[in-house]
Amino acid sequence: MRKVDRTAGLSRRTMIAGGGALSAAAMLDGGSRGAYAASPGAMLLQQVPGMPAAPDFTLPDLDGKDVRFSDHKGKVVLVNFWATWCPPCREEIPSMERAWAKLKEGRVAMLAVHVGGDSDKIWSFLTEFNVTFPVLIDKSSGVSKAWQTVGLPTTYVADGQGRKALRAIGGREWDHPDLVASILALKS
Amino acid sequence: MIRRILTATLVLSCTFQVTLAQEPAARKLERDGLKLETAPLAPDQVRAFFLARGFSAADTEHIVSAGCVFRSAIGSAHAKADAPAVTVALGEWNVTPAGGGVSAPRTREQWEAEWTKRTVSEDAATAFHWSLFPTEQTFSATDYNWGFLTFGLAPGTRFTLDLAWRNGGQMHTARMEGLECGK
Repeated sequence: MRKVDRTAGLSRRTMIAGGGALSAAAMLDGGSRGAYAASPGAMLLQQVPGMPAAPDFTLPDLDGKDVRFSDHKGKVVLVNFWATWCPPCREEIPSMERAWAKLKEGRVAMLAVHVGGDSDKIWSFLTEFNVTFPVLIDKSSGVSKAWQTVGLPTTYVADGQGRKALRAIGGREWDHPDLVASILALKS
Repeated sequence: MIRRILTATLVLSCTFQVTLAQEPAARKLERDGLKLETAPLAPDQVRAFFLARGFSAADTEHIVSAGCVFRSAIGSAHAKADAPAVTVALGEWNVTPAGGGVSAPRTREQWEAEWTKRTVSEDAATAFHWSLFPTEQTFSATDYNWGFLTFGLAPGTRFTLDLAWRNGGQMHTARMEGLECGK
């Protein structure tokens, strides 16, 4: 089992992942997940007109530590709004984890904002999918709405100046070379 | 992709035991920039999904009796980046039950007003909001969304759905007859 990438000590996530608990999400998903892997056709990221400033936020991560969006200024930041019970969110998470392995080498930050606050189910889900990128909790979904998200999953990529540059509504295969290249291109 | 998502939605919403062979066939539409699939949920599927999201048994039964919940995946059929945007606004749709009377699908905002009156928990109301298809959404090429459509009818009600959407600003319509709420 992969270790969680963290800088400070042994996280709750690491401990739970090590426990290998069978998640409720796995029971819901059955064995059918492989049958609806993301299609190679859905690979476009749309440019956000006018590149508006992304609203700043501070949200807790799964260890209760506050994470502030604006603390990532200077970095490209991928912000994904999702929920454990959202089928396309579940479908894209493995590719997002694979993309994270590539993007963090390029000093790109990734923040997965879970809409709603069912932390036990989130933990189970993360265990199942061996997710290592930061996951934040938007319990009231106020941040999701402030970012003008209306459906899940929606993903924005902010440039180093904190502006919304790219957007995807619906799931994507995030480790597709075209998408990774589009994201990394924002660094220049 | 949309078909896969619809299948995934089914798997999640059914939650535990579903015999796929008993599922009503999904209705599909793909033209003039729109791609859509939808199919009714059985009452037990609705119960399983919303009980798991934190709704009380009474509030879940309210959804079952007055929701007429369909799962859906709706998005742009366009694949090229410079394709026109596709906009879907549920307020432009008409639901006509066999017994007469025309209404639009029930929206997030209508349900939220109801959850406030019924003092539904924040977690449940939040999950409900995000599990419903948005009241209005615009899709660029390859964008799509999934979500429940609620038609505000009793289980087993047959109805006609008149859909509308805009493809690059041009309005298009389609009719789906013989739809039936899950029972």
